[in-house]
Amino acid sequence: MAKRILWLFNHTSLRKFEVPMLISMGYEVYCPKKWNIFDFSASISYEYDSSLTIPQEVLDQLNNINFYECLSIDTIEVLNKYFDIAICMLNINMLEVLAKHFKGAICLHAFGLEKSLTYTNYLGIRTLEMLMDCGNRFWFLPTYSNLQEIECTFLQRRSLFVPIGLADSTVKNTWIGGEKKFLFVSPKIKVNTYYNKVYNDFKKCFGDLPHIIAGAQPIPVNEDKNVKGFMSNDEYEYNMNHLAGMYYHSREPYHLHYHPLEAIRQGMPLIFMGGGMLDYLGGVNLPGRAKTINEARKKLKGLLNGDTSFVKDVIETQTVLLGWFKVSYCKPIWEQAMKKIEESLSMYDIVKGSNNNRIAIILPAPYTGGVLDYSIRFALNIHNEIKRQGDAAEIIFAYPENKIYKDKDYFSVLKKENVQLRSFVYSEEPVSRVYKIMKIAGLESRHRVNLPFPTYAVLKDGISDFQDCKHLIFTADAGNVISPFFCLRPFSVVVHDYIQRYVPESVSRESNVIKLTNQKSANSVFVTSRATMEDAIQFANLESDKVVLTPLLLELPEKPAYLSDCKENYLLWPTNAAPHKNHLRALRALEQYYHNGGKFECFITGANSKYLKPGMNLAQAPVSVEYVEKVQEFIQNSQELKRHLHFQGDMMKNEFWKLLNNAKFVFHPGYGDNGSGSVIDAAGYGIPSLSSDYPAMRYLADFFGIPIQYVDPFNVEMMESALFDMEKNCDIYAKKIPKREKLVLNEYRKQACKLYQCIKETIGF
Amino acid sequence: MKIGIFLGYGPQVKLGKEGLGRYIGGLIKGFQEENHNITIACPFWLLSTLNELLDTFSANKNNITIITTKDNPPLWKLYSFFKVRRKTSGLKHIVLSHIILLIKRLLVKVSDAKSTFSFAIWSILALLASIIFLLPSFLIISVYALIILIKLAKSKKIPFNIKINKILEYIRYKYNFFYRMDVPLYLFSNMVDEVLKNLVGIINKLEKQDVWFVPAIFWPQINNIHGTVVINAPDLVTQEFPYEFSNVYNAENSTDKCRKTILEGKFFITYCEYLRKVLLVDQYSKDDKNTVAINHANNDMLTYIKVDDTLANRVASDNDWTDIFARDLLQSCGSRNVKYIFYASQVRPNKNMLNLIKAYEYLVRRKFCTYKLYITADLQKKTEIGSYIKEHRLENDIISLYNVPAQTLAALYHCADLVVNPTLYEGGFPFTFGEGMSVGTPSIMSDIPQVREVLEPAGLEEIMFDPYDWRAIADKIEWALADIDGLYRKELPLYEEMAKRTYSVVAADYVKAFETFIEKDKRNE
Repeated sequence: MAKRILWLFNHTSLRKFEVPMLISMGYEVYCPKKWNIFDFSASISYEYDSSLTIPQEVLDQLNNINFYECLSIDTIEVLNKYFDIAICMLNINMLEVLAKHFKGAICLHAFGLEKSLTYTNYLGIRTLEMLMDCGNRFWFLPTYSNLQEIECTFLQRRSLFVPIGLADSTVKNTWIGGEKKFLFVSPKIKVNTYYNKVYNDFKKCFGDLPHIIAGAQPIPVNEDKNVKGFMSNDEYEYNMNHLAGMYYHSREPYHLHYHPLEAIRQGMPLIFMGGGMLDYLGGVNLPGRAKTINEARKKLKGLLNGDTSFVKDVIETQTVLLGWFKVSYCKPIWEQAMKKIEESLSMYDIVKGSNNNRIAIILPAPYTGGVLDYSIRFALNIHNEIKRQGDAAEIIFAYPENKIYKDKDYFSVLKKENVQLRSFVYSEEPVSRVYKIMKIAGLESRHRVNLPFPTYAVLKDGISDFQDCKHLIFTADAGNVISPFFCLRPFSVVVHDYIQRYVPESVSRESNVIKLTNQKSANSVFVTSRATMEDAIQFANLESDKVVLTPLLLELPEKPAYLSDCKENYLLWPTNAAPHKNHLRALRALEQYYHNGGKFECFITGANSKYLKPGMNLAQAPVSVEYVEKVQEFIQNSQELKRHLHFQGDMMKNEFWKLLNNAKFVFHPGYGDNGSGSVIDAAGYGIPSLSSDYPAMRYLADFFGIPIQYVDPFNVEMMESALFDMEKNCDIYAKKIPKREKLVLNEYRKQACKLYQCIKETIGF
Repeated sequence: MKIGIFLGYGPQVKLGKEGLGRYIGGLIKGFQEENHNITIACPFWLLSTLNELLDTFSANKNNITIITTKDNPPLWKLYSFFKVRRKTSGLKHIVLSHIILLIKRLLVKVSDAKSTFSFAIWSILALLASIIFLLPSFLIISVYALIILIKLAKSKKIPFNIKINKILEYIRYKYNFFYRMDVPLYLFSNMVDEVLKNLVGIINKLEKQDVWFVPAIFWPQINNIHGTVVINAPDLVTQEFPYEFSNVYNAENSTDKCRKTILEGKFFITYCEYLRKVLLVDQYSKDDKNTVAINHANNDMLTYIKVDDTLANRVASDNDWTDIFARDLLQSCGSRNVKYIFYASQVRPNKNMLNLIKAYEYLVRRKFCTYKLYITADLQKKTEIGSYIKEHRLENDIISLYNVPAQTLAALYHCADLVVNPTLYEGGFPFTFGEGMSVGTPSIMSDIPQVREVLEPAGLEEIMFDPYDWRAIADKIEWALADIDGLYRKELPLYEEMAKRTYSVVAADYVKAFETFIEKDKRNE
């Protein structure tokens, strides 16, 4: 049966050669109809749609898709249904989507890059690893056999040489000459630095000789009358037939342009610089070759002066270069390569079941509070959905080795669900070691990629260092590691907030750098609110395609035995000792509130909150001493506060719920984080909340469907009035809170399917 | 009309990089379009940058006569010689890398050696090459050793210590003497003054022009040119900010020169009415009728990034290629989709950068505004602004893109959501308004007379803010961001009017002013 090919290019000349050849080999070929890559050598053609036997509506659907942007899962399904082979360009997004979701062969068609670049470094280790995971379905298709020699061993061993050709390579000999100007091709002069340099170098060396410069100029080069810009076929043909010759500048050993070949085909004399790809193709001894600029000038002058014997010599000898581009030469090599690709497909069918879909969910630091809860909920949701949907995948839960996990069994829920647990330690490795790891893994090209940090943190699990996992998900962007992660396997990071953007002192400079570096190198970043999503793009500079909004994973507190009807006259302020909790402004507001006759007492609770109490010794406290001292001092100097504040410290959950059950309302004056879960706890008990107004908090409250009284966290007077308002109206606000039965619907368990879908689409299994 | 243009910039100036340089280029083009004869007088050192400028503006060089000094002064030649030599230090790198390559190859030969004899030969050669490679290090180490030795000698007070001390003292004394005198500045200023004096002498010997146009007030020598001299007096910003400009190298001397030029000059053109009245008529008592204000030409940034329609139409697609191109350009500066506020300005005392930064900080930290702030100031230098940003941990939010080419600047304007200009003082209506609007981005601006005289008649007072109050800047930014499209629509009619002020229109205004002044000069008014 004829195999169907997705041919994901829009380059006109390439299409004219490759697509008809593939069709003649018995394939059906689809070419994309939309593109937004800044390239004017590209175009759209419907010409080859007739080769396809897919239903018209599917064809119409495909024709509306931009393959150079992120593809949806629906599109992927269509591709998997109808196509067997994808031949695509060097586009990381496109390759990653195909690697994750496409079930057929994935062929990276390579045309060579600038001398200093390699495909290996351009793709980066984690994209390469993803391609490696495709096993024998992935192929590297270099168009010149020397391209692969500078690449990493992985690309080398997946290489299949497929020569590039000219649709019509017969020598026409229509060149007449006569005009005393020569042709130089340099498109995109004002668009790209490479061609800008090519143009400037040309002008410097040959600007005084009469010439015409062809090539599309998206930004017109009006100041140089010799730059003719885009030419119609007739104009181009005329120039190719009448100008004295063509000069080809490139000394790039791994890339060749089309136009010198077109000149040879036309029978136009070509003067080219030695050291480039034409040498490799047999041009070393040709009379048109020049070793130096002076030699090239001399030879060009020969053409301009009509040195007939020299011209004849050049034209007659240069045709040898064209041999490599004839269909008769290329097609048999392509046939062999395509046979091998097809064979790999049938091999893949046999070993399909052996695919490894193990996902590591990693708790990045020894957390015991909210992040641990989130991580466990995250793992449970994925684990249960895998089971429910019957997918061939599994999760492991990894945590850092730490005494606290030995003292208490924090992971009992996971054990009960038979989730495999694995502990690890971070190991600081010097960059030299990291290079060594890359080389051994077969991912280092001849030009070593530059790693900017002196040391990297590697995860050691004592087993395989997570190489057995398809993907690693860090459930928080912990800043406790002193170097950025180095991880061969693809990984994602969950980012809950960018508190350092709003309260910089919350995160050290160094930690911020490591956090942002890790996020940049991650394959994707999961965020838990729209506000964090916005910050990921705006603050961390992440590409929007890479940021995935996942549902919040919240849980209501256990249902109390009774709901207290007779609340006591106090408000509850759950907090910790971090600066973003906005203690000083809140305390000022409370002081005013009490000073002006406020009646509700204030109970303060939460991790490290005990240190806020005046007189507490901060010597060993895990808090910012400078900040907490200020808070203590403020309270110490206020008789009102000393009288009305009651420090409860870090309470056990049950005790906290008991205290909450009798409170009039919850006070959350902090800002800049991902919102306060205490507000959810309060709602579960039918208790209203007064909260700072900031985007993540609004998102959280809306997500859970809880009405909240908001206040500007920076305005003490407004905060004071809001406290009075709560004192007066808290019973009315309490009535507006939805019933527990309704709130339950927004709990984490109900988000499992949505979360799993996000993960599945991002990781691809 | 025979128009002479005097350019007296020093040898360090690249005309194409200076806003004023580009303005002169545009004017020359405008004069040529009206078939006026142009003569440009400049020092010899300016010739190459002048030619580049004329090429950039596609000016017809055949119609331009250039008057210049004979050659560069010997002092400048000497300086340039050493400067060029310093630039070729890459040579050292090339030589060293070749020696390393040689050593590597020799070591391969050593390991490949099949006989003891060849092994010995290759080893010796490799050793020799290594010695050559290490030679510079030996020399450096020797010099350091010598210095340490001298210091040791000094501390242990051995006999020759006295001499060394005396020598050191003598050097320190001489150094201090020269340091106080600022020898380089002294030599440089003298050299430039002398060259300009010569140039004026040459001008006076040659054929007389109808008018000599001097586009800046830095060169008081021009008042010795015979004939009608019209001076463009853009501003005298230094005297408005004496504290801040006292940090700027040589600001006091150049201000004096500017003052002298205005004091001695007769006919003036300014870029706005406000400065004409305040600076020239009020402060320097110039005759009201001998001064005229001519607004700037519009600086259309679209030409740098506008994708050729014929090419764009040829490829059947509904893409906005100009937008795609601009965002591709910005990819290297960060993410292509970042939303940001933009202020294109260097750090200068009048630019009010710190207040904008404070306003921005308030918006991010207190109002949870997610936009970034892009500026074009050089923050690498240890400036107050740089320290503020660092101290307040705003490095990830305030992005400085310094010394970007015009095309990137156009892309930065295009991709910005809002242009903010909090300047305290300008020579005329700031270019940033037209630069932004030409690529589709609206502005909000300082309420200063130079801005007000344009915005008030256009009914755009609401887009101004008090630049001295950072809170007012923040509020205005917040107001503008709430409805960017609406703001653009409001500003469009004014921009459309401004866009009509091409360089030919402005050049015609200049010629008209020249005619009036020539007439007055003839009548000796």
